[in-house]
Amino acid sequence: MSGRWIEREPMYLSFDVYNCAYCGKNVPRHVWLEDVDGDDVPFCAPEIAEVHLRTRLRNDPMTRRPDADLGITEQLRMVRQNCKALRRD
Amino acid sequence: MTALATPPESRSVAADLVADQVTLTVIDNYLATTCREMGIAMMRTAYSPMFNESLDFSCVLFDAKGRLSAQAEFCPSQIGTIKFTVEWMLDELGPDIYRPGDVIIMNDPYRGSGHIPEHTLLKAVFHGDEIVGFVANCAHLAEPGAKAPGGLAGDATDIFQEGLRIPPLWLEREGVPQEDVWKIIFANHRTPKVTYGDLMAMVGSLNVAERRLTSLIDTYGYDTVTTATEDLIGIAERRMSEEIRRIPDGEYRFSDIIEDDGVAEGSYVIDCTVVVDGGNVACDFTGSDGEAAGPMNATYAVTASAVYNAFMHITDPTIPRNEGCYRPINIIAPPGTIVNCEFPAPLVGGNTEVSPRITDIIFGALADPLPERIPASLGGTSCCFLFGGRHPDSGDLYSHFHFEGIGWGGRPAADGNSQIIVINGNCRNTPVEVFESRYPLRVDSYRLLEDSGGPGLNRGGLGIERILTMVADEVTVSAIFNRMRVDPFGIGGGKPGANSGIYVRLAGEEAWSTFSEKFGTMSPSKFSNIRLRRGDQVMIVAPGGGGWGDPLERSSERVVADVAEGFVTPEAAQREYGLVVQRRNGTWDAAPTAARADTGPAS
Repeated sequence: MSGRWIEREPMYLSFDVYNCAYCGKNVPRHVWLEDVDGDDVPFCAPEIAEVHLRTRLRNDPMTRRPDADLGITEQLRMVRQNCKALRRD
Repeated sequence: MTALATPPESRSVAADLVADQVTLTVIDNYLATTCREMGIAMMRTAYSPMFNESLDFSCVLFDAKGRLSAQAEFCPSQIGTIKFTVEWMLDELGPDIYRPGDVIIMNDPYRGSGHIPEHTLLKAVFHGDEIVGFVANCAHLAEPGAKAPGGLAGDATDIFQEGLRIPPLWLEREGVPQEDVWKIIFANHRTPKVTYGDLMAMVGSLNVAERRLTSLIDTYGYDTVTTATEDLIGIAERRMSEEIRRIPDGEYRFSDIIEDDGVAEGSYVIDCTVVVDGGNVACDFTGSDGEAAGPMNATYAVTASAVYNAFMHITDPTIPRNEGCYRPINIIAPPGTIVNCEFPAPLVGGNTEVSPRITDIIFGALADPLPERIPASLGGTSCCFLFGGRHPDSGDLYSHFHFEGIGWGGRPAADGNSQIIVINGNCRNTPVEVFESRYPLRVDSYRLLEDSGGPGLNRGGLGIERILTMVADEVTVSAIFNRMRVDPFGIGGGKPGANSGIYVRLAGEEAWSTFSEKFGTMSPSKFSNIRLRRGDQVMIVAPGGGGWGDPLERSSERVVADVAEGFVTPEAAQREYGLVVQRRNGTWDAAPTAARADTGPAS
C-alpha cells in the first residue's frame, strides 16, 4: 500500500467533492489518497483503501493471490469504524 | 417516561456502563424530549404549512465530539441525512470556529443535505467557555428559489435549477443576525416573509435546545452527562447489533425501478445486496444504474438515510436513537450512480422518490429471512404537487409543496394503512382548509380509492383521489410522482397495489388527460411550470399498497367487510378474492367461486 493523507481547504471556486472509492461516501476535508495503478484514488481511511484493494484483487481472477482474502466481517468492521460517521472518539 | 428496555441478550452490557441505570434513563429521556420540544417550538411558531401542518423537519443533539446523541421521531428522511449534514459542517468548518450565539445555516445536498429545500441550522452550546455540544435542526422550506415554485422541478437537469445552494454560512454571529446573508436568501426566494418566519422558528428551536442542554448540565454536571451519552451510544450500538444478529446470516438481493427521470425516456434499476454477518449488515448498491439525467438521483446521505429507515422499521423501536444505533448498518453506494449522484447532477426527487424505493428494496431483500416482519411495498411516491403564483386577494406571491398520502403495504399481521404519507416522510398532508384559505385552489373531492389496495391475505392500504380546481387567473403547477407505470409489489402471493397518476382537465373540457397529452411534457408524472387558468382542474391519484399473502386465503368476513365499506368493489371481490358478495334484504352474504373452493374451505 502507498498513499497519503491530504487535508483540503474548503473549496468554493471549484467544488470538487471526493467520494470514498470503496463505500462512496462524500469525504469533506480529510482524504486518504491511495496510489492505485498510478492514479491517486480517494478513500475515507487507509484501512478502507486496503479493503478495497484486497477485495478487488480477490474478485479479479487475473490478479487473485492467496493472501488476498478478507472476510466480510473484517470488511464490515473496517467500514463501520472508518467510513461511517467520521467519529471523533 | 419510557424505561430503557434492555433485551435479555444485552443485559450483560450493563456491567460495562459507567452511569447508573436510573441516571441513564433520565438523561436518555431528557435528550429525546428536548428534541421533541425543538420540533414543537418550530411547529407552533413557523409561518409555513410545511412546518405547522406537515411537520417536515427534524431535530437533533450532538455531543462535543460531534457524535449524534439524540434525535426525535419527525421526518425519517432527515433523521438519516441530518447526521451527515452536521458531520460535514463540523468537519468543513473545523473545531475552533464557533462562538456563543453563532447560528450556521447550510442546505447543500453535496455536503450531506437531502435536497436543496431542506435547510439545516447548527448552533454550538457553551457551558462557561467550553463547547459542551451542538444542537441542530433541519426543515423543508416551502420556497428555496428554484426554477419552479416550491422547488421540486420535475424536469431539472442540474442542481442549479433546484434552488439557492448555501454552503455553511453564519446566519447569526454571537446572537446578531448577519443581514448580508439574510438579504441574499430573501432576494432569491419567492416568498421571503415565509422564509423569514420559518428560519426564525428554527432559530427559536435551537435556543430551546440550548437552554435545555445547559440546564441538564447544570443539574447533573458535564462529566455525568458526557459519560451517560457515551453509555447510551454504546447501548444503542449493542442493541442494534443484537437485532441484526437475529436475521440469519446471508446475502439477500432485491431490485426495483425508478420509472423515468422527467428529462429522458428510460427507467433506472436500483439493485441492492444486503449482507448480514453476525451483528453487522452491509447494504451494497453496486450494480445500480448510473445517475439520472433528471432529478431522480439520491446522494449518499439520502441512500444511507433510506437504509437506516428500513432497519428502524424492523428493529426494536425502543433502541435509543443516537450515533450507536447506526454504527452496525453499513452502506456501499458507488459514486455516479442513481443512489450516489455526483455534482452537479439534479437530485431534488431523490429524497422524495428514490428514498422510499430504497427502503422498499431493503424490505424486499429481507422478505425471505424475515417473513414475519416484512410488509409488501407501499405506494412508494410522495405524490409531490407544487404550485405557486400571485394570490388574487393579497397580491402577494405564494408557493406551496403538497404531498399526498398513499396506501402502505399489507403486513404479516394486518392490512396496510390507507392514505398515509410515504415512509420517508412521516409528515401530514395539506388540510383542505389550508388549500382553500391560504391558496387559490378549491378541493372539489377527496376520497379513498376503491380497489387501489393490492389484494392479499392482508390487503394493501388504499390510495386516494383528490380533485382541485384553480380559482385564480393563473396558477403555476409542477409535479414529481412515481409508481405511475410500475406497480407497488406484493409479497408472498399478494398482488400489486394500484398505480399513481396526475391528470388535468382544462375548463370546459369533459375528459381528463395526462400532462404529457395536454402540454407535451416528456414525463406524465414529472414536470414543472405548467400554467393553469381559472377553472382548470387537477386530479391527484395516490397509489395503493401491495398485498401480503394469497388473497384467496383472506377470510370471507374480511372481504365482505371491505365491500360493505366500499374499499373493495363486488367485482374485485369476485375476481381477486374468489367471493361473490351480494347485499340481500339489508345484509351482506358471500359465496365462494371455484377458484376459492380449490384452495380449501373459506374461513
